[in-house]
Amino acid sequence: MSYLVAIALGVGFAVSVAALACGLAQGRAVVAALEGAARQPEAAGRLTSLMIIGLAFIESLVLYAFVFALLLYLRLPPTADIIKLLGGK
Amino acid sequence: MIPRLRLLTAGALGALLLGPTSLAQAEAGGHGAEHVGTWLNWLFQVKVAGHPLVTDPAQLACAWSLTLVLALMVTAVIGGRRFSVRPGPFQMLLETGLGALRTVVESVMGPRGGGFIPFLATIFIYVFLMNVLGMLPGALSPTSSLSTTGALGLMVFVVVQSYGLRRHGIGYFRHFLEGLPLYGFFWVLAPLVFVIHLIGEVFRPISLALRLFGNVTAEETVAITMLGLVAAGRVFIPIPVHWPMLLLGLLTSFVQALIFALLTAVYLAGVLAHEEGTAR
Repeated sequence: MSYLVAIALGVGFAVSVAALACGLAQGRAVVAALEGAARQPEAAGRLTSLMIIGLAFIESLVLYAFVFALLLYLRLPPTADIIKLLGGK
Repeated sequence: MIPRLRLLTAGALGALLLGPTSLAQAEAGGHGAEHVGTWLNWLFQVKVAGHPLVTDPAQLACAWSLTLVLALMVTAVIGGRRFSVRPGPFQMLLETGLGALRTVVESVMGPRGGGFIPFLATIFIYVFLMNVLGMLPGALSPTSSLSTTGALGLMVFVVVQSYGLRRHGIGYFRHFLEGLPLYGFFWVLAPLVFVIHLIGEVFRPISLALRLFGNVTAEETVAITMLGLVAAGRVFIPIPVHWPMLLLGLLTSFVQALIFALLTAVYLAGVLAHEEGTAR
């Protein structure tokens, strides 16, 4: 049972922790792009596309965490079975 | 031209209005995302020589991919007939998109990158339309299956490695030892660096596949969950609460398709530019 608890906790924490780090990293990327655009408004278009590409890379790390959380989640038995296992109705 | 555009917009909005119904019914029926009813679900009943044709949701995704390819081929043949010096809207759209893609690819690959535009543009258009296909009511994104994205990643891997081998011959493996000083003690580290670089090379198509799969599946899961909130009431009022998520999904589909094509361009540039010593 504690195995299932561990898996469930892992599923819950996987994307949350990844999203926390992703938020910090993407914030830094956007700050750098905004400072560059404020310094040189005519470069804003190129900076925007570079920023979008950088954000997609950082986001892909969250997606790897999501994919593994999905793999773990699909291994959990349905809640009804667990309630039966615990002796409920 | 304008009345046709109005008809198209009205048709698209009407089609999207039907979207909540099918997905919400699937969610209310308690099925998971892979049992959403699509227009091609009758393939599960088709039998060829006694064996069922389609047994797996991944094969259904493949069927949708084939449908998209057929539709693209028909569009290319019919739309391409009217190309002229005074472009119509379809030609303008294609030319603008390809021009922008060419600019970006040439900034990554240098002037030699122009030759790869057909390959990269095909990847971009195909992946983008596959991602968006899931937003139409009753259709399924082929990229929501890891098989499709894995196949695309494998294709990129084979193309990049074969270009490298063709360009450099057997000396292609020399660049695996890049960055290692080749005198004295450091020869011992050569196998380790080789293995690390090999693992990095193998991971690249896996990361491409996982990134695309994760994006599309996340968007679709969120949309289905939002519709589940709508469908769970006693009275079913079809409010399309998932449309903001679909808008965001449109943006991420575009960005992920662009990222896929750009990363392919980056890997190709890395393999082709090696003899001049330029590190891109």
